[in-house]
Order: sequence, then structure tokens, then C-alpha cells
Amino acid sequence: MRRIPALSILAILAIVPAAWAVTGQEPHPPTSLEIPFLEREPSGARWAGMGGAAIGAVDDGSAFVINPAGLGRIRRIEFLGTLQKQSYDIDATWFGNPTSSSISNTTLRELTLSFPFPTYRGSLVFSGSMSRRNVFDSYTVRSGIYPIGDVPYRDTEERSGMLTSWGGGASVQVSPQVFIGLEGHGFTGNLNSKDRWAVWGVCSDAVFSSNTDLGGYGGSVGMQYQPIPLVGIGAVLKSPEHVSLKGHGDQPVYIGEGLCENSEFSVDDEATLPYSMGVGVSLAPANFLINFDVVYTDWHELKYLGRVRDPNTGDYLYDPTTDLHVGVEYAFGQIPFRLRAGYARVPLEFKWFDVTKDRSSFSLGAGTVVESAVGFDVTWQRTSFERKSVGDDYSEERTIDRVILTLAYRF
Amino acid sequence: MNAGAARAGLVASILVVSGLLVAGCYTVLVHPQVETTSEEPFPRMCSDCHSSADYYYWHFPYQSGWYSGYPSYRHYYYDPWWWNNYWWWDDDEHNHNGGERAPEGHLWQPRVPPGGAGSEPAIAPGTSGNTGDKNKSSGQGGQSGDKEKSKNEEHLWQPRVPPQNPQPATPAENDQPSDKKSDENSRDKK
Repeated sequence: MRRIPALSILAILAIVPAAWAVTGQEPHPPTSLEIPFLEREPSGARWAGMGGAAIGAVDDGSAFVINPAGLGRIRRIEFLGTLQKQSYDIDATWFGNPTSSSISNTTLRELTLSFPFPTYRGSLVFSGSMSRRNVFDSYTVRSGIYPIGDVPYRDTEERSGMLTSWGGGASVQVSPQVFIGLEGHGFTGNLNSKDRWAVWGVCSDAVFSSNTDLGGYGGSVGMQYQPIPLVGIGAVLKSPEHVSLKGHGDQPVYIGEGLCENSEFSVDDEATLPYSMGVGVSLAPANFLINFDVVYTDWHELKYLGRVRDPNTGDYLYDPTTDLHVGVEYAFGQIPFRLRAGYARVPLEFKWFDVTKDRSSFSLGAGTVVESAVGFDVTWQRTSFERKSVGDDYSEERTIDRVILTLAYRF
Repeated sequence: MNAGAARAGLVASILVVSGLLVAGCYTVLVHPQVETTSEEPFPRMCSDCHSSADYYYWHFPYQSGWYSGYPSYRHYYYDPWWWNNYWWWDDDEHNHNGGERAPEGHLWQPRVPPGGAGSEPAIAPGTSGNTGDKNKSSGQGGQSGDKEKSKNEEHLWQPRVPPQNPQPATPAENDQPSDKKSDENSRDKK
């Protein structure tokens, strides 16, 4: 059994030998080259409703993911759960043939238990968390007439699985106005891919499939500081995350005369995601909460079989990004009801494409606190971007709609 | 993991652990033992011993805003769950009433000053104040005698407080609403 790099599997998705043999041209768009677990998906409905801007403000169990320093501001034992329904739509055009595909799923996004240790003075809070770091479910269909040879084709790319992190963290109040916190987590998960490629007359039903187990670890350290009343400042440093990939799969191999046969392969790889640094400011004028975050990640430091570069030009395939998040919340005074809205601009790090509309998110949300014990928040968030491959033979518009529900019970 | 990343992780871990150790400067889990005579009621308010009580008393100086002004949010965000029953407090051990149960009250529970129901706590926990049925009166009033006694006490974790001119309370001051007194405390601290 041959061993090949796991994420090259995604590249191999692009190398269906049959079509390659017929056309002599790359028969698959470069989406399959994109490492799928780089995006940091939203956590906590309240903060997602504010565009994900929360580094300086988060004060519930979602702090475990956003900024662990915020855990220290939890005063009651809290059990927090988040449910997410996601709809993933892809409108793709390849060689002038438009196709649409979509898939939806509902996922238990996070479960966090936070325990504020009784203190004489200050704050010390411990927390344990399970959170879905990434949900990989996607479904893409491309079909039409292949321009070379005028043969009809149909390509169905299906991906499933998720990456789940499990961890523990703590936060402590080091002065009346400063909290520091840290968390460590491990990963478990799986990534399953199946690419069915049909080109008339040549390996008419070639299937590439892979099943990969993911594991790894990471952590973060953060602080929150209130220099003056009603102003909060937060900072968080997320450590490199190491992800191991082990698995196996089948790929079709062209053996000539229009025939293919399957060949097994195994996977044993590692990837390292770079440091990520975020700073946030939170303002709280009367009945408003206004948050603003900036997050910087140097994706040049992404490692997968070394730094990830274009083999032809030597250029990095992933560029540094500076994410901007802003959100505002209004609370009705005597009624425990809050409305919020947010915007985020999270540039695409993968630069193989020309980005025509960078990744951005809009969100709307509302929340309430019932009987001073149960917090309930709901958020709708739409994330979208558009990009095309060099040469314009492939373009796509991706739209991800999420409905996020968070229920928190404070004992 | 390569050597550089491992080293960075090690440095970060050391910094974090050091930070947690230093954290003891402010966060304190248990009040140090304080000797008292059996005739004296056990000091249950920080102001009984510490002139800078706002610093010692468990309150939440890190206010994320105006939430503390609304009861629904105040209990949810600011009232520690252990206020009703501080974990190391043993009523039997500190019973000073000849074997009878001491008046109900707990160390971190805001109490109602002499003057009774409807008043704000003598020292409000930040701005959170009373919170409905959680705030049961301990029935213990001001204890200026204890405050005098405590001026010679030293604790390692006690910050140095600039000397203040003693301002004996006048009857008129004792009668004024306690929330006004809290405001004055806040101004003094600033």
C-alpha cells in the first residue's frame, strides 16, 4: 500500500487519471487543494450575533474558545450549550457550465461547564469544554461538457466529518481590573472525502475516496483589562495547533484503453497551524455594548510537508490575514431582552484563486435572560465569498447560512 | 513539533504559570485566620478590619457596563453563587452565642445596616447592591470597635493604605442612608 500525503489526497481528487489522460489538462478545479480546517467558526450565539467581536467583552463559557480570560468573569456555575444549523450553498461555474449544490446539517456546536471557585477576594474559574472546531460537510456538483474532446462530464465531490476539540481552562483575576486565562485542548475528528468523476467513455465511474482520522492539540492564553469604567480591552494569543492525519483510501488509476482500476493508499501526515493574535475593545455606553476585534494570523507559517508553496512559482499558497469584527448590542432596560448585529471581514487565506469578493459575514441576533438563571440567545449569520481560478475556467460563490442557538443555565 | 515551536510553547507555559502564581496578589481563596476574643463578634464585614474595605470585600470591580443596574442581569452576571453559603464558613465553629446558632448571615452576603429593611447594604458589592431574597439581613450593625482593633494587623497580601485622618462617625452620619455612605467610600477610594 502506498503512502501519500493526506492533504495531497485532496489534490489527488484533482488528478483523476482518466480525464487527465484524455485531455492532458488539470481536470479538477483547485478547491480540492484547500486545507479544510483553517477557518475558525463562530462560537456562542451572543458573540456570533455581534460579528464574532468579543475578545474584550466575552464573559460566558464561550470565552473558552474566544478569550479564556473572560472565563474569570463568570460568577455562577454555568452550563452552556450551543446548537448550530448550517446551510452550505455553492454556485459554481466551470468551463461556462453553471451548477448549484447545497447541503445542510445541524450540529451540537459546544458544551461548556464553568465553575467559579469560591473566593474571598478576586476570581478563579475553571472550565471544561467540548467544541466543534470545524464541520466539514460540503457537497459540490459540477457537470457539463468538457471543452477538450467535447465529452460530457459530471463531478460530485462530497466531504463530511468534523473536528472536535476537548479541553480545560482557567482564568484568574490578578488585579481588580485584570483577568488572565489560559486553555489547552486536544483534537479528535475525521475527514471523509468521496469524489465521483464520470467522463463518458473513459473510466466512466471513477471514485476517489479517503477516510482520515484527525488528532492534535493547541491552546491559548488571554487577558482582559478595564482601564476605565465601561471600557474593556482584551488580547488573546492562540498557539500553533498541531494536527495529525492518519487514514487510508482508494484512488482510480488509469491503466490504458479507457480503463481504470482502484489502488489503495494510506495517509500519515502532520500539519501545523500558525500563531494567531487578537485584540479587542469593548465599550459600554448606556444600554449599549459595542465591540471591535482585530485578529492577525500569518499563514505563511502554515506547515504541511513544510511551508505550503506553489510548486511552480515558489509563492506562498496562504497569505497572512487581518480579520476585522465589529458588533453592537442594545439591551432594553427593565425587560431582559437584547438585540444585536454584527459584521466581520475575514479574508480568505488561500491564494490560489483570484478573490472577487472576500469573505465577510453579517449577523443579527437577540437574546434574553429568564428568571435571572437561564440565558437564551439566537443568531442568524450569513457568510459569503466569491472567487475564480486563474484563467476564468472556474468560478464559485459560496454562501453559508447559520442559525446558532445558545442556552446557558447559571446555577 | 519542531524545536522552535516547542521552545515557544515552553516559554508561554512558564509565563502563564508565573502569572498564575503572581495572581495570588489579588485573588485570595480563604481569609487568613484572625484571633478574636469570645466576647467579640466574629468580623464578618471587611470594613470591620480593613479601612480600604472596597478592596477587600468581594465585589466585582470589573463591570462590563450598566447590567448591574438591572435586577435580571445583576443576579445572572454579578452575584457569586457562594454568597449564600461561603464554602469554608462553619457556623458551629464560629458560634459566639453560647451554643445557640449565630444570627443568620454569611461572610460575603450584603447585609442590611441598622435601620432595617429597605436600606441598601452598608458596603455594596460593586454596584450590585441587594438582590431580592438573596440578601438576608445578618442583623449585625457597624462595628467601629473592631475597626480600631484591626489597625495594627498586618497581612502579607495586604496592600499599603495611606494613613487617613480618623473621622469618628457622628450620630447624624450613622443615621444617613447607607447608599450615600457607599458613594462617599467610593469617592474616598478614588
